[in-house]
Amino acid sequence: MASANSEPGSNERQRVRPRRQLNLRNSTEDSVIVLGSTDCIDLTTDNNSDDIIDMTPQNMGLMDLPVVVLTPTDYVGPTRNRRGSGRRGRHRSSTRRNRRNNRSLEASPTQSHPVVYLTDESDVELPDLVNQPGQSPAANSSILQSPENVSIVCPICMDDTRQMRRNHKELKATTCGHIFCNVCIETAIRMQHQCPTCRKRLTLRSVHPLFI
Amino acid sequence: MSGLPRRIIKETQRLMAEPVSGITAVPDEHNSRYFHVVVAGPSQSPYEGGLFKLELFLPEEYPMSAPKVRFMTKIYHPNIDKLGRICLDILKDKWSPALQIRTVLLSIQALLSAPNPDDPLDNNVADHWKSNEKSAIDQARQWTQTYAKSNMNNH
Repeated sequence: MASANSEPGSNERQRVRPRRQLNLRNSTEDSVIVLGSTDCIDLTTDNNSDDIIDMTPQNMGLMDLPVVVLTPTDYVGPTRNRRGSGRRGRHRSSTRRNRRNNRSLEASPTQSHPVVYLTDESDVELPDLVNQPGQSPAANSSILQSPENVSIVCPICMDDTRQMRRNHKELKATTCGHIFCNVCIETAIRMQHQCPTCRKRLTLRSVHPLFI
Repeated sequence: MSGLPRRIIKETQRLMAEPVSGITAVPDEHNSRYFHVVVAGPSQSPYEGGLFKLELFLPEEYPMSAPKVRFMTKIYHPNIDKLGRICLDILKDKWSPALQIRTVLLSIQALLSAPNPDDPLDNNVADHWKSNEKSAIDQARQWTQTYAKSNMNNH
């Protein structure tokens, strides 16, 4: 009990610790990659071969991406830490002291210039960068599967998702879990007040949009 | 016919491409909403060996309202009257727009396998069925031989 009470006090001390006192060594332990004059960022520190992202200019189609390469003089300190994702992966094994540092970092004000920090957790945002046309987004195919690949047909008008889009219809699901286009399910509910598939009683409010 | 809903076109195509066993449904050449249907009498029923001609019409409101179906071939069945009208809930109040021509015809085929004299359309036939089932089934078998054999001109 007593030791548990003393814990918040020490946390407090960590939180009010001025940012300038942060030493960079701790941050690099957290896998924040600070780069010098090179313009190539290699994320292979993770050793996950499928996550290798080559960000050299010739491979990056868009030059207006908000990537700022930091030199040591520019470096002020990390302003952002993905706490949610930090709970999984390597951070789980990081020391208590590092975690406290992370908490204090979150409280610090954000920088005015666009800074992208590449940490070992950067997979959260970087898939957008690799999903350039011409490159095979194999790693992301399951997440980014387009509706064209999913065959969903309204059982009333028999339009599939592509035809629905062409006819300016939307996909809707009932509270009982059945899928229709908005036009058909609304007409059906007005006429019969029940689900065309399972006959459960429905009102127009029992239907919600479905995004796939 | 102009303005034929895509659903009717799709259903027709699928009926042709993947016909239901024991059932044929062909659209009329002059009216895409009118189908010439032939249902084979189910095995182990008094209608076995018979070919029953039906007409099926998709009203303007289809699929929001049920198709109109009628037996053209004479049949001895407690739920089908002299005029060929069918007593089947999904063709009346239990219709759902998720049902199709295919499912309706399958239900009619099932009705031939399982006559329901407790919900009759033709009272005479139903009474016969309830009072003497064996005699009624014999009668149905006889009508099948007389009216539903391969000569499809029977009415």
